[in-house]
Amino acid sequence: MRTTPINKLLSDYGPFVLLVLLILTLWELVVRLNFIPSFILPAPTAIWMALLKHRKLLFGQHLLATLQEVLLGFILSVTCGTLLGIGMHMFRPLQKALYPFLIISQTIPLIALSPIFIMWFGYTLWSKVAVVFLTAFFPIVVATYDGLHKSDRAYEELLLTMGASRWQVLRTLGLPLALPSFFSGLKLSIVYCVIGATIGEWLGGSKGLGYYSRRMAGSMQSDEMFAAVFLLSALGIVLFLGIALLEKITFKKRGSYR
Amino acid sequence: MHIHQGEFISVVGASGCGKSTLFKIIAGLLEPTCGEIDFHSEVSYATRLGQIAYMPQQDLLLPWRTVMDNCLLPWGVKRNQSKKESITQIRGMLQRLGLAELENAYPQELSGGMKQRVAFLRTLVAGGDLMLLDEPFGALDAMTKREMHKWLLELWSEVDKTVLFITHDLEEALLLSDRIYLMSGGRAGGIQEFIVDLPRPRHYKLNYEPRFITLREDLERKLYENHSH
Repeated sequence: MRTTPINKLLSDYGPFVLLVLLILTLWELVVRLNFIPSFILPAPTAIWMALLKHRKLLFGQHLLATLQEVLLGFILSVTCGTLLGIGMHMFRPLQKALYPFLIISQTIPLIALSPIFIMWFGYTLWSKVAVVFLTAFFPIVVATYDGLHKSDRAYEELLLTMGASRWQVLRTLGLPLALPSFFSGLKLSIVYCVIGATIGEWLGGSKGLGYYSRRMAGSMQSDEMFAAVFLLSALGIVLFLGIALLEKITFKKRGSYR
Repeated sequence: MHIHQGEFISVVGASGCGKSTLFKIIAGLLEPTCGEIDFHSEVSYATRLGQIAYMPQQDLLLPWRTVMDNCLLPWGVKRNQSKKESITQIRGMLQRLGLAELENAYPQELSGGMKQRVAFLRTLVAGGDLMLLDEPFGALDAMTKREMHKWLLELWSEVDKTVLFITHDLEEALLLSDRIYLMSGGRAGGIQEFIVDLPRPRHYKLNYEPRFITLREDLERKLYENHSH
């Protein structure tokens, strides 16, 4: 059978969409038939209604605030993470000195550290950006460093015989070879960013979807809370897809190689 | 082992006897544990990097670069002339190698023989008076190989390049070289010289001449003696 685009879409996403529809229907039924009280688990339709009702507030204010934190933290992580990854690859002592710190930074429970950030930066944007940075930074450094480190010795030797310096080897060979690994790191990192921003907002602030969902949970408005959670998850998915698209475009530019 | 300017020398020997390692030492990638390489009366191994063109066994074309961009790699490292000049030079060579239409193709679109030719071209462009070719035609079929020999002989007679050539193909070694070094492995392994006194310019028809056949027999016997020691 010839596969048309629609057929391909159906076979790729059909089972997933079907399952989602099934779960939503069951969920709706369970709530409607009063098996579960709606303040514990609101029906999907109720969540949808809440989303529509508060759309101005949710999209215009809280989503924007969260997005701002995520993007700032992400850009900062990518810049510092890439530079540090390259630095650790080029200078062995730097790698030996810093790698343990990197791992230690990941073992500190973020929730425990966040109040300190609030103390340092106050209830400003930057306390959230700091939390985002701490979550998103690690995967980028590791992905950059590992990607560079896997670089092929035979290719490297060939470039060296042409008289290439270490930096030339890095530019013509290391960086292009590290790109697939780098993109994996970016995809992980952007999802972590959303989680980091939410945690940051929980701990203090006056804006953002995390802040909003916590406030709604506090006043038992579960419809609104779930709407905010839904938006957070959607934000993560959209950002992830954005990076995936960027990856696709980048690799298309260099033939079909990935 | 001595090599003079403009000579074509082959190195033959059983697999694992250290031919490729020898090449890496000559290229300056490895430091010899003992002995010395004297290149233009310069013994330090690090200074040879960038002066000797080296073609490893695998084609090692960068998969994300087109044929042209792969051939521009030495230029990107050295920047010794303008990009335009390099491109014209590479285009001319692609033409001669029958690869003119593949300038913008990616390596994964090429056959094994084509990849090998592109890698060879890249080695040529890298410059250097001395070229180290590590089994460059090992993976090619007989027809393509013959074509490459013809091309290599032609080209070599035009430019004043010294070639060191690793091969397992004795006929190839005899056809191309002025001298052949037989290498044997192990600690006691030595090197034996074999002079190929066939007239130049050489051609494939030489393969069937009695002189060639005697030489071949000689070479084979020596190689076998060497190996069974």
